[in-house]
Amino acid sequence: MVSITLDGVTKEYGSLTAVDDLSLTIEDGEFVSLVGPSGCGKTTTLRMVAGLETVTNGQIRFGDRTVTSAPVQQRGVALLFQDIALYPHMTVEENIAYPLKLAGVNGSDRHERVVETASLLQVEDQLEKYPGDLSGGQQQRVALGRSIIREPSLFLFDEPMSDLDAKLKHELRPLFAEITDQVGCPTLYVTHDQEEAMTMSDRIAVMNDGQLAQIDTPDEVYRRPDTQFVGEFVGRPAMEFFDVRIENGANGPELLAGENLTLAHNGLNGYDGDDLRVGIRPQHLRVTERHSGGIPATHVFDETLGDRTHSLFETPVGRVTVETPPDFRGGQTDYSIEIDVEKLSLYDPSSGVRIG
Amino acid sequence: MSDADSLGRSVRLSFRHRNRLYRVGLSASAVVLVVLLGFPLYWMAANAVRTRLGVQDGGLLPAPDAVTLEQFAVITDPTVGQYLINSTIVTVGVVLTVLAISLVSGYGLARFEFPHKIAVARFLLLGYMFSPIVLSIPLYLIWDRLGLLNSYLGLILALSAISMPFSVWLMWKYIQTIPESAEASAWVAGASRWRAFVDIVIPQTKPAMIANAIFAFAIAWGDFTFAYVLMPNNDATTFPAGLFRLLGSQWDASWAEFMAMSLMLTLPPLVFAFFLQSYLLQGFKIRAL
Repeated sequence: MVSITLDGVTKEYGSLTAVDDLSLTIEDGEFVSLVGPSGCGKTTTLRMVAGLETVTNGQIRFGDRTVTSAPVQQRGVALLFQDIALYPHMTVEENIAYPLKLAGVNGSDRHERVVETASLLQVEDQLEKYPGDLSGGQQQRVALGRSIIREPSLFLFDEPMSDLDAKLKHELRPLFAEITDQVGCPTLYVTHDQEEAMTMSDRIAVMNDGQLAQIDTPDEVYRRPDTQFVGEFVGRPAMEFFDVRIENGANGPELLAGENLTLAHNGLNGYDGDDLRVGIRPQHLRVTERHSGGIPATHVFDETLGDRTHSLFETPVGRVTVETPPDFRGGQTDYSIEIDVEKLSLYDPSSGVRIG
Repeated sequence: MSDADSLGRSVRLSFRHRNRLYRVGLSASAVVLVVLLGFPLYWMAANAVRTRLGVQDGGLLPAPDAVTLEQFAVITDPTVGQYLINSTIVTVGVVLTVLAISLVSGYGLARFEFPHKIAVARFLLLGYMFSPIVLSIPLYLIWDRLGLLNSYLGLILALSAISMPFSVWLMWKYIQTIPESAEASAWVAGASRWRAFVDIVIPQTKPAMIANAIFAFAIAWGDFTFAYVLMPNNDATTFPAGLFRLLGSQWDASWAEFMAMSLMLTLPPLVFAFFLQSYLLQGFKIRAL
């Protein structure tokens, strides 16, 4: 087992740059999620690692071995596709055994290992059936079995759960985590679902427009998004952003949002008079009765979620969502919103890059 | 009902009557079709099992004492037998050639991008704009030069070319419906492109292969023009063209024997199409064709 390195990997389609100078290392046994909106280049990246797509520039290494131009057949990866891609004309047993058949393993050994793998995935009583007779969850398990039976050097997932319903996702997530843990090789999991990425990964790599926006532990990505994009993409409801101006007040630099809000903030010496964008999680905003200190807000709408409420407010800095207690009902009246200044993230308004 | 009457809808037929009318119309048109298409077949079959004298009687049903299977003994005639062997060899050859070429070129069209792909595929259909006789005369000259006249290979090539446009298009559209990820997962597992094609793609094209096989079978088995022009030797000719030769020759054959030969010529495609029709329909059902 080895680590996987992407070094300045670039993919161009004509004048379009799908993946731009991406560098990333997945340690042995590590589970890394590649997450981003559709068209951000995450699937292209995965296909380049698998060898299904050529690399325009840069290097891909499995351990010390450079595989940049090695064909897909020689990379020894396991790949789970979005559409499962079982062979409809083969039984479950033949499906799982196919990689072994290609490797020239003889019939009885094949059967033994298929049974072993199938019992690991709890599909050992489905071996005689055809994929069309299985439920969605069982099909996923069979596809998983087929991909792990040959002890891969790298595990790749291409949005395997995006077509499944929520209940099945919850059933499969721990299974995927458990199986990848047992196989023990590096794992690259591509998804557009930030919740999936957050719950399963050792580290999350957030991609936007072909570039790596941030790579860190789920916790760190959530608490300290490197860019405005990451803040909006990771975490639900999305981080709220508004523009402020910095002025040197009596107690050091202050942030001015709209006309009514003044926030004291340390560590911003030297930014006097500049414009700034601040981001804050809806969980770190608090609704109080209307008073002079907070942001004046008029309640618009409540989303009742049972264990909490997402409440939308109209404010001088734009519409803002606040996480409120489960029994909160706004009633379209006036409130003030208070900000937990410690939890603010500060961004450059033109580039969206984090400055504090 | 009373509501409908008060609203002035009584002039219309009730649903029950409309339904009955519809069914009567459907059955009537079915009867007309069956009679038009079926009677010649029946006439052929009925006369194939009569004695020579029975044929001359000409009743709708053969007289009981005039029924015989002896006309089918014509198959043992060396000339007729040779026609049948020729037809069988050519038909099997055409079906196999069409299957092989349509699979490979359908896969190529479905999975690879190359310049003017659509134009090339459309160009294939151009062959259907000419009647067989227009094509077969220049082919005769070319085959003559190449020494392919009177050879199985020559006729197989000509007939395969005629069935090819349809078969390639059908296979192209059919392979497009097979997800590429199924192949890709085989490549990841270590299969070469060819191996994945053979193991994963070909088995899944069964309905299209059967549709193509039936189509090629029908063209090859029923072909008259190409066989007549490209196989001028009596020994080399196939059943349909051979039958025509016998009609025009001084060969002493009765109508009953001709009917028996025609029936033998008709039965294989009927049986073939009857047992495989569900596959045939599946093959035709692909959208965008």
